[in-house]
Amino acid sequence: MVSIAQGTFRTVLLTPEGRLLDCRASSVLLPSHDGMIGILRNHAPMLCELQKGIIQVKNIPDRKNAYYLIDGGFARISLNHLTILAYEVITFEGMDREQAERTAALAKESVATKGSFVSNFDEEIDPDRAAFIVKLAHLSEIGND
Amino acid sequence: MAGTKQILQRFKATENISKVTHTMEMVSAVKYRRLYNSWRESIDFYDALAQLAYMIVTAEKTVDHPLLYPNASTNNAIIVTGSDRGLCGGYNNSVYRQIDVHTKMAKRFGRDVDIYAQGRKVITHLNNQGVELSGTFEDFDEIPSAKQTNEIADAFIDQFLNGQISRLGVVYTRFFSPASQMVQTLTVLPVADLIDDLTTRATVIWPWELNFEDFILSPTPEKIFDTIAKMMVRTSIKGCFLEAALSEHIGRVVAMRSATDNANEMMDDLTQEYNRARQSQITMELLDIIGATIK
Repeated sequence: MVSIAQGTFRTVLLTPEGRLLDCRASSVLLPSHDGMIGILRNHAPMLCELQKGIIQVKNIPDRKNAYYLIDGGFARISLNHLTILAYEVITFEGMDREQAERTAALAKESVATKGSFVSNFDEEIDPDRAAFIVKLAHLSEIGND
Repeated sequence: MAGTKQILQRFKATENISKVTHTMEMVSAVKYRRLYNSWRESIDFYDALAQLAYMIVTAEKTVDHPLLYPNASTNNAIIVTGSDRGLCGGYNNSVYRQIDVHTKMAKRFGRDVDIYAQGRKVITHLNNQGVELSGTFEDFDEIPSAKQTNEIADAFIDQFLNGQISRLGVVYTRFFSPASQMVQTLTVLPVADLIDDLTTRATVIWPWELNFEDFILSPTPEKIFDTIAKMMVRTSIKGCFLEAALSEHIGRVVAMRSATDNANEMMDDLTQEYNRARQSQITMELLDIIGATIK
């Protein structure tokens, strides 16, 4: 029997800098204000505030899973259309592998020494955010060897 | 008629001016293209945010929030965005006129207006006019970073919540298209006015398939609205700075292109004038030689 939650839905990630993602996915994990929530097809209409954390977009046809570190925002799901409004988004997508590994290494060092670092996104990253970058790198399979 | 030497000097000066204006046009065109891409990319975000806010304020059970409506203060605040450099046509003059409108209106209605300015040209103009500025933004070039925007927005939100100001407007040159820009004031606070303005701009705002009541809300509507309102104030302020910079650069591209065209036209005229002067000089010399031979 086919479950009601099976299948894909449209997922759009919007930031003030542009549209970072517009695809169909079958599962999305969001850092909601009170913990992680999972979105599947046919989810009830929902408006949800997001906090700092990682958005995990899974099972995208013809491409790898996508991961984004956000600083907060909103998610709106209605009629199988998920729109995420987020700001200060960090992702390893489209980044050169060497550069991504260097950022991941700097983030690991920042977590270990509890000091800030300036990333190649030209912003100062505090140890708290660096911990999320380490997790983002792990999920994106960067610097895992 | 000027001599050939003077004409050549004028030609060279015009040629130099043409090179300078052409370079300025190229530099502004590159900056414009970069900003235009960010502006185009950000439209979807602003539209989606405006739709969200509109949905909340049109709910059957109204959301009550202190940022939503004006307070009892008789003070208004305006952020004025101008340019650091000149040679951008009537860009700054239109901003000055809009500031005049605000100060006159405030006087007429017995209100005070606090002016916060960005851009050396505007700051100098207001200082020359003897206008006392409540603050200037000089720690960023054209567009503030996300952190700087948050600091600016939070400071005004605090002033609004403390009852120090009842309205906040941003005077900026709105970018409609590469062929059309116009100075206007976007009311950022109270947020009801901002939502009104943004929703009339949003590309797709209605009809919506669902009402606010159909959604599961997490957390409560009041908390969601609090975050949305602050997010809207921040993004609107940044958006105004972005559109102002975009309009400035397109203004400079147009002004410099026209200056280059004029310089080129002048060079053509000078070339003709030079040839005519040279021809008449040769004729005169020939006449002198012929006259001398006849004698």
